[in-house]
Amino acid sequence: MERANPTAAPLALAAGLAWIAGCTGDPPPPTGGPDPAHPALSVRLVEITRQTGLVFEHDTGEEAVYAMPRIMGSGAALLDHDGDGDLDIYLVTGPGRPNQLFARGSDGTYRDVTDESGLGDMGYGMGAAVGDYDNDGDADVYVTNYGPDALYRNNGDGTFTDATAATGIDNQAWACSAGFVDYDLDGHLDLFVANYVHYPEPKVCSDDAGRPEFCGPLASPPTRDVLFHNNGDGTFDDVSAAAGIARIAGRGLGVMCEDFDGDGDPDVYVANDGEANFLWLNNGDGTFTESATELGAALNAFASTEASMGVTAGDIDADGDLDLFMTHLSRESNTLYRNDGTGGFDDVTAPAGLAGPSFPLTGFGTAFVDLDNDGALDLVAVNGRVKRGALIEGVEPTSSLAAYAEPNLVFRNDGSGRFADISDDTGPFCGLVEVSRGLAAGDIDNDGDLDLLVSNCHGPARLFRNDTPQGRGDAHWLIVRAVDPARRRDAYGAVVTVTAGGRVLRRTINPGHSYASSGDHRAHFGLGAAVTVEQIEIRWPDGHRQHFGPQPADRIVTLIRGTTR
Amino acid sequence: MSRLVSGCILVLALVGCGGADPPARTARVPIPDPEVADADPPVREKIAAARTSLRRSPDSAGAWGRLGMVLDAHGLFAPAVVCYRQAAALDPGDGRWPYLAGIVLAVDDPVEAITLLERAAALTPDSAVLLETYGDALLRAGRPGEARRRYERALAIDPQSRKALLGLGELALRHGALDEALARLQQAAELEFCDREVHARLARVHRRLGDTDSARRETLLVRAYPDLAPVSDPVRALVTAEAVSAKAYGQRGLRALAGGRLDEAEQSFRVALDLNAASVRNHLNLAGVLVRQGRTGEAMTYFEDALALDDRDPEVHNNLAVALMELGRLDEAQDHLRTALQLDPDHDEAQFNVGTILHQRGAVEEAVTAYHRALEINPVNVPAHLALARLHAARGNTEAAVDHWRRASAFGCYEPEATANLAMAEARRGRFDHASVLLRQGLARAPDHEPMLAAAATIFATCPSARYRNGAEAVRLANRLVELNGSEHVPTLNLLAAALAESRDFEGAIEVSRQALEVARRRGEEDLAAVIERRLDLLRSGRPLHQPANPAGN
Repeated sequence: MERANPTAAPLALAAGLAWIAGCTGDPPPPTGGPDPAHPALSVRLVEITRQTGLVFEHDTGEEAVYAMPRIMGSGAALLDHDGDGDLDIYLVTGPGRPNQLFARGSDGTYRDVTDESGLGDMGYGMGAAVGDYDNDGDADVYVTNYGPDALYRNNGDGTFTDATAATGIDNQAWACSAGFVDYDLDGHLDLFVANYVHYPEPKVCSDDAGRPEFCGPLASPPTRDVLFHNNGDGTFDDVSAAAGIARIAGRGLGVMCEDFDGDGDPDVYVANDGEANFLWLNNGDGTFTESATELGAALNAFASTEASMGVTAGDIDADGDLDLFMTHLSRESNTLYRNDGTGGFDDVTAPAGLAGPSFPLTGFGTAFVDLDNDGALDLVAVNGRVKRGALIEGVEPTSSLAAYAEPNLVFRNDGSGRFADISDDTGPFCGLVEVSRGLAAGDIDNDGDLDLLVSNCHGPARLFRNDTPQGRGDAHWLIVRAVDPARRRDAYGAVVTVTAGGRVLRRTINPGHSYASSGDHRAHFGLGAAVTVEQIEIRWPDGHRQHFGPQPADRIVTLIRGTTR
Repeated sequence: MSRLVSGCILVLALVGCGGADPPARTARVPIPDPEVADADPPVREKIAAARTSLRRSPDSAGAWGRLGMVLDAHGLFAPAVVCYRQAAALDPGDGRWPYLAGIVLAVDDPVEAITLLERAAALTPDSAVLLETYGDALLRAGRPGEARRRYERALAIDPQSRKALLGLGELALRHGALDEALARLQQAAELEFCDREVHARLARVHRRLGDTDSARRETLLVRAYPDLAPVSDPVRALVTAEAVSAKAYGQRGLRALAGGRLDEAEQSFRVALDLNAASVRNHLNLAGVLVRQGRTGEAMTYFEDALALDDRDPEVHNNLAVALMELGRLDEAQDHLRTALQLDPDHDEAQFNVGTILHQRGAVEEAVTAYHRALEINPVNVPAHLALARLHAARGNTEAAVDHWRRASAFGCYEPEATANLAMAEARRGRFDHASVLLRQGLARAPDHEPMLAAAATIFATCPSARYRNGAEAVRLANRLVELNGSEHVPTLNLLAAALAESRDFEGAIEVSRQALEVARRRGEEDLAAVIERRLDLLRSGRPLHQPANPAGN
């Protein structure tokens, strides 16, 4: 049920609809959530992997059975690698095989372009981050590995050059997630890499019964995360020490770069495995202060450390601030930290309805996404164990990782930050039982709803098209691409605020979140019954606010800084 | 024959057993048979034995419960719950089974756990531990009002219920009742200071109260206490006791080591090693306890085995270096520390040990740099704070020494050396209230630590403020010191004399002082003898040996 894009807006810089510059006053107080006059729609996710030609099988390698990296990978990315306006797919795999790039064609099918693209990194792949580090208008790719990471520069013609050495990037540690972020607001995307543990050689651990098992994170020393500063001349410097990031070692798996304290510069949240998470608040002078514990975002409500894997953030209760969610090991529950409006966070997992369903599962990739376009951010988490368990019905028992497979979860947000588990109603997305790791959300068919890409450990990648019924026309939408022409790229860190139907919805331009994955570089807004958007405000990364006037809904628009369009 | 047996069972089922109430009818449940073919042999055997017993007595609640505990102890939670449920069905009057099932399910299926814990609470209404667990399960399930009632009931049963205080503190924090939250949590900290949970919550409370400094201090304490403080739970302890895997013996050994029970630790570590000789940690644990017992030569074998297993593990190199330092083989120790730091530049313990070697070699400034580097890596590294405190104290930098003792005492969970020194420093400043608190907490953790005993006895016997003196307690502590140091230790005898004087036993005080005088003279310590004689004069005139009042005193 792929629908034609009503505007088919090309995403080149000069494209997009005309906009009238709006007034410059402060936005109205935030309100949001689904339109109460219209009941929630059921979410339908249809698997289209085979029919789109996306043939990818993650390989965990042939080394020691219980080597820890085997069970941790790998992620996935959505990116427009060739600038044709649609989302291509990059899938990361284990050792001995190249990562694969699939280009989306105009007919909606995918073609393996790994060889000609030069993006077939041969490292022991963990994840990918996407951003235009050289401000040349195309998407570059950073690949995290168990082993040296790699940075690929997009040549602008759909091919890539390994620029790792030329840029001075050097991260030998085991990294899983990374994020591009302009932390010093100098117009150049810097790079934050979450490193996991020091694990130089395979070793086998045992479970409580003495059975051989993958080691947990605490069996290996922690490592330090790395912040690479972009010098603007095609090179990076490791500024981890000067920025304070290197002060504390951790076991980082997930990264999310957002302005959590609302002071205008991006902060960094690191989801650590088995220990307190980090919230690096940006001091605005090139340094960061780790503040997660005192802000209540390091430990759960019982002060327990949790095995944090994936992380996502969004304004789930439409109160104008960013809430945090992360996925965890089974018997821990995932955790939702609600922003209390003063910069602190409260663990509200249980009252939000998110605890129970996640207790038995081990979560990795995750995303807040408005699946039914009702204006409230729903929640997706993909799962798969790291310790063996009983076989779950539906799993292929011959798979070597069968005892690690689990189903995924989807929750609908009622708009107030309370979630209902709708996993049973979403079709194969939650019906398939696999060892899922990466999750990337994006509108692959540009039809106004968010589709989902899932990567599986030792299994196929799967693409799910969002076919949620549009009901009685009460699932309108808007997709915004925000471009800074001075930088010739997407304005990572820009906050887009849409006012429609009396509600105010905010999103940040930054595709990096989840686990080892990168999603759509555009901001998606479900508008419910609103057929027009009253106003769009963009707060550009440097703090400048620009307003764009009323427009019809159901459009993909590219908003360019300094212009009326 | 089989028909006859069946007939008998039928008759028993109809008429009951010995006049008791007929057993509740329970559905037959297959005996769980988890896949443990590759588990540690004792685990397999223990599970097999418990299953055999159960096959022999399939209607025995005890047999079902026992298998449940064995499975639970080895992380086989799902089949354990099956067993606990069946035990509960067979013996609905025994609260253990729903309780244990509830604990397992509290982090798997909170809703079901609540039903089970409710049943357990009805059967054991006066168990504070059960109510704490029940409260936590309700909180986890998003039912704060009900959780509050359980916590309050637990506190009514046991006013020392730390978990209940923590739960009530969390609830108050969530409702913005910050003063109540602070009071509850501070009360919990009084009961157990060395607990991450209390400090994590206090950090949040202080931040909301706008007290950033206190919030940061609490944040450091969260880092200092990586584990949650254990809760004494006799029922749960039965489960833990069933564990026989290598990992369980390793953990048992670590607990014994932390409690100073070195022989028990050695025994546990040996079993762990026998079961899993491929584990580097098992070799290191055994080697470590042997070093603690002064059997460093014997330990070297296990270090070498660990090194053979993994020569890229920085822990191996660091631990081996410590053993080599004990043997005075500093060059080799230094080599291993260098390797440890190459493998893990953030290894604060290795960095500290580098400082110790430099210190031993007389390179004091370089040692100080190394200690500070260890603290840069890990600000809660207690040995580094202690080493720096000693260095500063030796140089007369009292303020700096006190600062490091303060940190070492806090981060080290009332580390005895730091606590005793800090208490004395506080006493010298006239801050007897703080000194008393420190000593009370310190003695609770290290009752036989001699400097701590001496510091406490000194304050109780000689404090210029009557509020902090306690003659009877001073005598008790001083007598303990005599037991530990012998009756020829002049400072201890002087302390005992002061304690006896404070308790108005001047006759005894004079006698002990004479004894001290005799020892001092025998050893030719004339200056000391003169001091004792002056004290004897005071005692003969019936005056206790109080310190002069400090103008800054309270």
